[in-house]
Amino acid sequence: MRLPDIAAYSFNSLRKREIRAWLTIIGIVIGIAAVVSLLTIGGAFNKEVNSQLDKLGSNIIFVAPISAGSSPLGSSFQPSSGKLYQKDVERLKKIPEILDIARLLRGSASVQFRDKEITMQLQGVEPGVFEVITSFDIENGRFLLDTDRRVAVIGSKIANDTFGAENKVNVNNYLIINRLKYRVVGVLNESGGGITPAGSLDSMVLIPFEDAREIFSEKLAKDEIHALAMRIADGSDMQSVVDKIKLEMDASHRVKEDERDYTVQSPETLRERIGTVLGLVTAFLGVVASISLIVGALSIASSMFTSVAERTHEIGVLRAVGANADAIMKIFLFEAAAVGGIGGLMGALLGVGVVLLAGQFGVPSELDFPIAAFGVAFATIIGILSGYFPAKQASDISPVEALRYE
Amino acid sequence: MELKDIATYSLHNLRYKKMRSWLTILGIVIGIAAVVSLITLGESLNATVQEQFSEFGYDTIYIMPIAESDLTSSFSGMPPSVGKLYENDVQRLKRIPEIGTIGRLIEERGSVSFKDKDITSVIDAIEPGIYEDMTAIEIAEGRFIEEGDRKVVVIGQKISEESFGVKNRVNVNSYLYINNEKFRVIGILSSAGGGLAAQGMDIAILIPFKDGQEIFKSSLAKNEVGWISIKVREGADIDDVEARIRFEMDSSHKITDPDKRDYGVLSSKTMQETVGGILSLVTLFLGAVASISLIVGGLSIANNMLTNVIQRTHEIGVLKAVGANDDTIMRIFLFESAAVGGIGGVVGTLVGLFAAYLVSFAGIPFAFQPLVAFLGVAFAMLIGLVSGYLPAKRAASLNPVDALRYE
Repeated sequence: MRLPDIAAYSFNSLRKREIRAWLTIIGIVIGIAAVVSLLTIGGAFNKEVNSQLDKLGSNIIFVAPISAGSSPLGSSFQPSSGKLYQKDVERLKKIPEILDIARLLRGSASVQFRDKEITMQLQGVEPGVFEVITSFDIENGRFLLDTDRRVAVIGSKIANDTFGAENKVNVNNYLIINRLKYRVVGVLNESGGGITPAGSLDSMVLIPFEDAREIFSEKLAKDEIHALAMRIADGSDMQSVVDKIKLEMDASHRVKEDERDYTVQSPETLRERIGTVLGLVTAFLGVVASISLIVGALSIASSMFTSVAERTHEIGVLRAVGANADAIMKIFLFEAAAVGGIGGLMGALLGVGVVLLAGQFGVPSELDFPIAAFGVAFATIIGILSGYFPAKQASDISPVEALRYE
Repeated sequence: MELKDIATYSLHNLRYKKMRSWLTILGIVIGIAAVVSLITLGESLNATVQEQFSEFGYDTIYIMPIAESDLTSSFSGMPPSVGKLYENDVQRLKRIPEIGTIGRLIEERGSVSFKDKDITSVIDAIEPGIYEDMTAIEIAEGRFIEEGDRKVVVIGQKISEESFGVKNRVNVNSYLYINNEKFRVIGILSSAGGGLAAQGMDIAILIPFKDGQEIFKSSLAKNEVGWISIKVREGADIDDVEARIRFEMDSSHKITDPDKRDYGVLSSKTMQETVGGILSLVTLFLGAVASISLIVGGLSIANNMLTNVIQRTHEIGVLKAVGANDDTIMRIFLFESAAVGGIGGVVGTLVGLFAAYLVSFAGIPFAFQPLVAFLGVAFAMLIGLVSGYLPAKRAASLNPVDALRYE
């Protein structure tokens, strides 16, 4: 039998038991829709996180003291196991691929504006280098200059919200930090929740490095630096630069690989870590949703066994007019594949619909056609697999027995 | 027909239905097993967490200079502060008669060094005598801070044994430099068995409140107190006390709009409810995703029952001819589909519980949840009944004459 004939024949027999065929198909539709929508949303979420990480620039590497252990309370509660010093910076300067090194100091301090005093995160930066390394936009005013002292650039949340909506901080206002007056010279653009390893710039106060050193002097060891951000020359191999940094840091801190008290982070490692976590969550949800596909497959198998039993006589007739066992097998396999395929196609469409609907509620909803196509293919394969044993049973029936069967 | 007869008749049929009935039941088994195991695991985890919370006691309330919305939504790291708490807040709160003890707490990151190693860590400056009353602490070595102590420190197990290197253990009577001031170690806390509370205690560095005021002078405003912790008198209604605290704090901070509060009140009860709520939500979501397979299973039952009705059209005609009415036919088929669901539910629940039990060896707690198991079986039967309804209706409404003629 030629394929078009098999197809016509199969569809005809599906039509004869229309309601039951649809019940089986709907089962697959639901399962595939669940899997396709969950995987698509998971993937879109991952992409959105990645695009935020891209804002960091792909050639930046951070070095910071490591936090010992991990705890449900969050890493900022954990004691660090070491510190960074100026001597580390001197050593890292030897690595030719590193173009700039920005030293950072951060910590919380009491900041006063008019009659309101709030404890917030300060970041001491070296203006020239920091500007090159981080991407941000100035909304109002200007960024810090290398020669500036006692000035501050503030994130948009601090300017608009922190001190109250009626108490906005503008350029040329004064903030009192640690009993000293700081003039606000610039307000940053809202970063849209962008991520940096230090948290969002939106609720950050940036001040010159030397001022920060004074403010935090009691908490700092001699020559201590909280973190380093480095810009790497375009075209260099990030992995080999990371390795070189680790080599220098190990020597500087006199530690072996398993005693490292610092961590080297590139956007790539951040991306990998977040990607791994999101991937695991998505995969887990996908697996849970796939359970419905197993049930759907059992339903196809059950429906095909019924079909074989009900059409035993018909199979006998087919054999009598010359169809061989192979042709019978093909007919039933095609039928099972058709049930899976139709279910998969409709399920993928429904899944895409669910994703678009979820998009209306602010869930990342970028469509991913390979996932939808995979859904259709997977459903067809499920159909063929579940149809195999029923089809085998059909092709094994002896023609004489089958003809006699009523 | 009596129920007993219907049961015998249905199960007899079920037995002869071979492969396709078993495939249908297997579908329900898989679906119910997935739902039961996921929900059991989620609820077990929740029960363990709740138990750890109850070790804290239900009678503590913290006031922090952090917006309430940030307090409950942030699980990693410290949320930004939105204001400050002062000594006069403490004085005002003392007026509330239901408050038993009231303590002040400064929590700051600071530089801690031992021998040649420096670390940065969170340091808590506490009021001795009050702090022990609110937090479950156990001393492994030495003693706790007492009133009048100055320049002494009590540290957690992990700080003592690991933070400065395994070879560099900090013992009682060692000296630590905290923000360049010398502190004598007088006690080491015991790690209280790995509970949620203990994890915080392992990395604790506790110093007297007055020392904290001095070494964190630069980041504190005049008369600033950091956090306030309150222990409510026994028998007082904690929600009521919370409301009175807010009232006093609002008037102390001159706040008229609750959305603009520059402080947050967190009771151990709220904390417990929030965490429990989140865990339940996650469990519910996973359960819902797994339940999709039950819808598919239900469709499969409907399919199977429809096939039964078609194949037994002649038999239905005979039953009706010998006097069975529509109602009886309906019951026969409904009983059969409920049985398919029920058998699937019982087996599925057992498989699900066993799966959850196996997973518990990987460290997730397992506690048998009778309600979840019961609901698993009941839900499967309900699915059977619902999916069987239309096929049974179709069987009942067959015309006896046509049915008898059907071959």
